Amino acid sequence: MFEKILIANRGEIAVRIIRACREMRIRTVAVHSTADADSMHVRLADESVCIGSPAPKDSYLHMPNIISAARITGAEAIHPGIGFLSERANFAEACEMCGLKFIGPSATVMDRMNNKSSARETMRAAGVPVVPGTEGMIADDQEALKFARKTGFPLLIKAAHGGGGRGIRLVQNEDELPRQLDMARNEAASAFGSAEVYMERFVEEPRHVEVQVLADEHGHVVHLGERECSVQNLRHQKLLEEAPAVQLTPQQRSRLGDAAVKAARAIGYVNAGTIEFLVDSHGDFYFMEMNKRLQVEHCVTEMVTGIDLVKEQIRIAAGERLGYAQKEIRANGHAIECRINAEDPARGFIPSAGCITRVVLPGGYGVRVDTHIYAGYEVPPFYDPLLAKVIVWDKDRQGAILRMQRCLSEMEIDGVKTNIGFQKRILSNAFYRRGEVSTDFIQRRIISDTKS
Amino acid sequence: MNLDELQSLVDMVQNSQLREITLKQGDRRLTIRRDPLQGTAAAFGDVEGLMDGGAPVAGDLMAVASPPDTVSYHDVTAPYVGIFCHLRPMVGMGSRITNGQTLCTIQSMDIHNEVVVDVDGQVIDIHVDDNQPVEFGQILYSIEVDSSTDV
Repeated sequence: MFEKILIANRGEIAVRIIRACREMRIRTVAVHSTADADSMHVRLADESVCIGSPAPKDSYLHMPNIISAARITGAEAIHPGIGFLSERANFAEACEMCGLKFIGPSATVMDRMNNKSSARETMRAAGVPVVPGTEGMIADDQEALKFARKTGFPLLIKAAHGGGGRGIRLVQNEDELPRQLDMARNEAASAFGSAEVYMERFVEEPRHVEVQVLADEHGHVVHLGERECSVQNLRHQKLLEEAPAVQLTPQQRSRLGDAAVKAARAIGYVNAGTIEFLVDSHGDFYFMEMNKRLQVEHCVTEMVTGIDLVKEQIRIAAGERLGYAQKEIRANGHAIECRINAEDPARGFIPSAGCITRVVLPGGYGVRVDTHIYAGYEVPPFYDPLLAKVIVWDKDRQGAILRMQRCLSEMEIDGVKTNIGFQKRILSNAFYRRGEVSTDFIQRRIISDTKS
Repeated sequence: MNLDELQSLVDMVQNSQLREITLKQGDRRLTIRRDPLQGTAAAFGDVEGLMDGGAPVAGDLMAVASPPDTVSYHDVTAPYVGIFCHLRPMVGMGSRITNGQTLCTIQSMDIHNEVVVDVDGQVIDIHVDDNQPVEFGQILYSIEVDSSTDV
């Protein structure tokens, strides 16, 4: 096992990882920008190294400074957390070259799955269902038109290197296809450094369901069940997640799990990963993409399975065996997570920076709060607005919803605007409570409701 | 340190051939320097932190400070994370340095990155040792900037 790990991240997830390390008796090194010198992850770590100025490219994305920080502190492994460098194949490669263990999949696997088009091809070849789409990149408008006529509208144009809901355009008819294609290419080139795009059928009223997998270096792959992540804001960012997913039959659930394991095996995946699927109204599902890292919503899986995903990541990276079989993993009860963001729902969810003057966190039976905030904490304007994750567990979904409502009514954050009130509206929405959610839930059931 | 001790230090500098004296206590620093034109001593640095007496005393002391417009200081900080390495021969205490000059290197991922100064002046303090690990923003050198230099 490692003796010292560097956490190349900030905020609640850095705190989450440091906590796992401490319980494993592993020493920790926090890295931080000048804006985060007083941050919770710096306080909790055994050591800290300032790695640059506030802009992410100068600090949390600055590979030489991060690797150098690991060197000067004698860390043996780097946990990349979520976002930042977590899915950069060249960072994983640089770590390997410098003799540092990257806690995540290999650079080769990341490379292959980072290109969404080649990821689709790999999945199709492995027998995992994919949304009908173009085979590979679109060469020209003619090819796009041919595909569109064969598949029918509406269609999606997607950037090959896009992610997090960005780089996607919806095309309604043949007339707007050439223009949308042009815009998609330009957008992709400026945002992701590659103009490559592909097209696929638009799955209507889809639900976003994802399956957590764990794979060790010895060829053992298991899944830890699925998460329902359909409640997303207008930028396709998840707001509320739960496990297990609602309205799935046991058969559909086991087919999803099998597909995810098959997908992970097909690419020789190692460590924790998530396969995202679109599930349509008939319960058919299609591979969407793979997240080759820990996810923000990993906690709901932990609450129902009792498996600490971060500790598993570290154990796997250290070369240990999983040590349990698929049949030993059971989802027990129901968990819900609400992301509490520093943002203003009344003003288009714009991020709200400033000093947190007062914090009251919820607690009690079946409640977990993952956060890095404290009274007096200054929310910097440079990073993700996630302040806290409130996670609840109960025997069933109904109980979990009631518990989350109780928690949010206890919770108080003064000094910055938050989406706590908005989350309460989701929880009290009748469609949500019946489990009738699709990825357009916020638009259809919450925002339209406000306007009428 | 109390006010009497500080006063005796100021007197000592005043009545000696010393140009300046720097005291370090933990991470706090106090420099007493003679004004070459008027011959009076002036105190700079984190005076409050060094004094037992606290704020009122510091207020008096600041009044002692000689015209600040004639002397200005510049800290050279680490632009990279890595291992601080002196040049050979090293830029040492009292060295004259000029804008654009390399002061030292910071070794990061087996590459020696040069640290270049952007003022003219004189090195009055070196805060790190050879082969010491440094983080971003850590103070490496204190420079007394030549009065003609625009900082």
